[in-house]
Amino acid sequence: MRIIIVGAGAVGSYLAERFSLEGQDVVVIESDPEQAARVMAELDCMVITGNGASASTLEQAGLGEADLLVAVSSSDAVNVLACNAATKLGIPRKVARVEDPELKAEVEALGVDLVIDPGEAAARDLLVLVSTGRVSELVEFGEGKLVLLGAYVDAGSSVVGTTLAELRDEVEGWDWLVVAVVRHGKTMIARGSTQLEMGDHVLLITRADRTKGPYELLGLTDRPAEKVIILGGTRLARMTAELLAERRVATTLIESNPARCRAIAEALPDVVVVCGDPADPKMLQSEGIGNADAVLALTGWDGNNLLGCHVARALGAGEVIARFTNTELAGLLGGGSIDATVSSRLSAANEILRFVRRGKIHSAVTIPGSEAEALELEVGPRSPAIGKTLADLKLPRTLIIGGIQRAGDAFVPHGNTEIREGDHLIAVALPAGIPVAEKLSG
Amino acid sequence: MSWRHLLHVVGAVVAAVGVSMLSAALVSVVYREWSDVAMITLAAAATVAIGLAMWRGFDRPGELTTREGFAAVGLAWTAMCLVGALPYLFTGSITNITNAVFETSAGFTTTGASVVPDPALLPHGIQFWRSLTQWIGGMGIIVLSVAILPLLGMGAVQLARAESPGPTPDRLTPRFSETAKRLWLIYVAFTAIEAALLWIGDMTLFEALNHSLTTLSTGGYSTNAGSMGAFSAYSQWIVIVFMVIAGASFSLHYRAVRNPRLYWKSAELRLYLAIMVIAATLIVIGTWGGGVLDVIRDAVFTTTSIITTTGYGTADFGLWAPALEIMIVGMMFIGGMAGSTSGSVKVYRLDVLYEASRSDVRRLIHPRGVFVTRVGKKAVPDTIVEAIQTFFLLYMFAFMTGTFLLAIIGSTGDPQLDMITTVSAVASSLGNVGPGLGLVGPTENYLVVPALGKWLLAALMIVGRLEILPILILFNPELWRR
Repeated sequence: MRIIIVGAGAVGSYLAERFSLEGQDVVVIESDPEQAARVMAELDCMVITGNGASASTLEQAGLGEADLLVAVSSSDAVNVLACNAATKLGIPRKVARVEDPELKAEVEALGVDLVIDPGEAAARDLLVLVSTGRVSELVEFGEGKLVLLGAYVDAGSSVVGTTLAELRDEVEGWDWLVVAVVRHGKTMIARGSTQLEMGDHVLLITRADRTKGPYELLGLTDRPAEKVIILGGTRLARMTAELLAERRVATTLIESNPARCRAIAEALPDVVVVCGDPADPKMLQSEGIGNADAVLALTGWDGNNLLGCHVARALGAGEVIARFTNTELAGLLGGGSIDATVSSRLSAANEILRFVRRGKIHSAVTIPGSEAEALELEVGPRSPAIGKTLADLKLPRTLIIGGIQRAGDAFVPHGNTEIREGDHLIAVALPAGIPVAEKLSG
Repeated sequence: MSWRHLLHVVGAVVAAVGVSMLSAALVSVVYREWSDVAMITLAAAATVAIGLAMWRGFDRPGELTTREGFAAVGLAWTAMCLVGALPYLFTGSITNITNAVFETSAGFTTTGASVVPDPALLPHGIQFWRSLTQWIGGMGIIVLSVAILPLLGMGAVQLARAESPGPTPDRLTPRFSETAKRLWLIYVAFTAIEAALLWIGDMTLFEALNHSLTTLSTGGYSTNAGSMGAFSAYSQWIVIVFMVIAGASFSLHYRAVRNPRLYWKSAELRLYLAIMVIAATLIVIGTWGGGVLDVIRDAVFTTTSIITTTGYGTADFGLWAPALEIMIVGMMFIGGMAGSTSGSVKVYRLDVLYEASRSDVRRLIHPRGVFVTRVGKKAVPDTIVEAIQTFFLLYMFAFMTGTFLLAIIGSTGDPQLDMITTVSAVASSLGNVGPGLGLVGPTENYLVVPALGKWLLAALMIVGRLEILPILILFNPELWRR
């Protein structure tokens, strides 16, 4: 599949990396020569330096043979123009990043299949995290009957030092499964012999109605936040505050720039906007950070967010979530004082991946700080897996099946579970495992 | 700043007042009151002559600054209230200069306080002139002249801004003269509709016309000594509806002609109506007994009449319980919406004051919080909030000082003015309402106030109508420095 990506900024270069790791033909168009050179050096893809809105540049990139155009430059106008050119050339699928909410409907009317705003995508992800205490990920699969949960293993946790096989023996009639462990920025598909360590980022799949067991095991609560403090007045902070206020969560936003404070206070009547340094302990205390259920550090600087999280944790805040613009930091710094991380580029990439995979694969989700993806795929009539048990399949170490949705029911499979036609498999795969997963669907 | 520029503007306004007197002469022609025709025409001629002399004698200002605009409007309105007294004096309807100027001031400022015991005894032309002063003053003579005549040139917008009631002038069209035209159009249309509806009822055409002129301007002059109490329940309900309309913003009316849903979207309108419903309910409870329908009608009528600062009377609220009388005085400080023809503080400002004080309380909890004052969902800039707080302070200061001075002057009168009379007369004059309580109650008139007191009240009426600043700026030495 030939994929053209316009703009090698945060979202674009991340997507280019993922697609090229999967073995797709990726062409990146970037106007900044330095950025273009960097992408060319790091990734196995074609890079064209030029204006992504210009028809001649797009033609040079081979737009005519492309199957997908992803216009994710930082300019709404360039993205819309690129999609327009793609529509004229009859490119089947188009994705555009558009930040201006007023333009969204108009761009969709132009025939763009997916219009995405990274800030909005991240704000929605934050909302999910805030409504579940101290969970780092929560994604629903199989019509909401199965969930993928993520959490960090705390220092005092009882599971430190035990292997997954031992854990499984302890719990009777388990209906959850640890599928992957992220440690020091590397993702391992879970095996029985995997031993859990402090600071591990654990991903598990469980039935949506039986989350109590895994929650207890990982020391989590599922009480939704009632009081949230947001550090920073960025676009993401503002959008998140708006979503929280709509859900009647008591929201306080702290920003240091007075003019920005005023603009946010004018736009969001239900949010308390406080003007001051977001990392000033005295002020955080006077705003009652000690009894905040969640603190979201969403300033534009990763360093400030890290600092804000540490201060918040030290002052006794409940769940602490940081935003990192550098996706690598998002993976490395989770755990310790930070319960979860978000990144608008990852959130946006997630949505785009979900859209691109649509077809045999029903949905796909990336996990911050990990190269693994969670996929939901349907077993078609020509699938080689029909009639075989999971053990028979001899899946590679880059792929694990953690849940099956079958005829209105959903469960966590065992080694001797037989796969039938029409099953929806919930799999977690490293990039190399994705083609294997695709084969399973037939 | 050159005072010559100011006098040029004043001359134009005076001339316009003179021209409008001719319509009163026309009414006298209709009623064949020939001596009045002559005297009113003479008054008109004298006024126009004075106005033209000033207009031609002094240079036309190029463009007016904001302060010049305010000062010119302050002077022009003072001049209007003086020359507007000429028809009363020339026809001998009111012989005393003090009384004639008081009656004119209460007219142009749409106050409706009167020194005429029985208006029905006045000649028709003079009755009409009384009502017309209110109608002209309601929408504003400068807004009128901008709409009809390009007499005032470039400075007209500054002038109209100073004259328009409310803190934020609202533009309907890119050009102000076009906006002024549309506002007057809607004003004329409502007046015509009300006159027709009243004529269908128990009023003569003359009565219907006069009452619609003084309803839409929230003036409150009646052609009848018994005010609206002399007319049928039907007429009273019609007047209630049109008082409510006149107390609402005219630019809102204009926009709502095309999109009636805008009425419901206006937070200020909702608050304005809510205040009246609550006040009327309290009065119904307080005056319960006898004919229920009469009680309700009197309560609703009195509430709308006072809150919109019209000042018609049906019930004699001077006989009500003390708590209700205190409520009446309190209601004199409310007023209608910004951009209406009503006087007093106005609902928009009260809402801003309330919201701003609420922000101050919240600031105690979040010392560094940023709180935005808003009316409905719309944020009000801090500069406007501060201007409104200053306005309210000055308004209350004018009320206190006025009350104190009138109390001193009133002690020389015969009979002496008591406390409730003094307080209510000042609140009523400053808020452009009309009747007060006690000796100046709804069934009484202002003849009882000593001459000096009448000049004071007339001045307060102008201060209230122009919302203080255009008058206050005249006393600022910086204005007169070159």
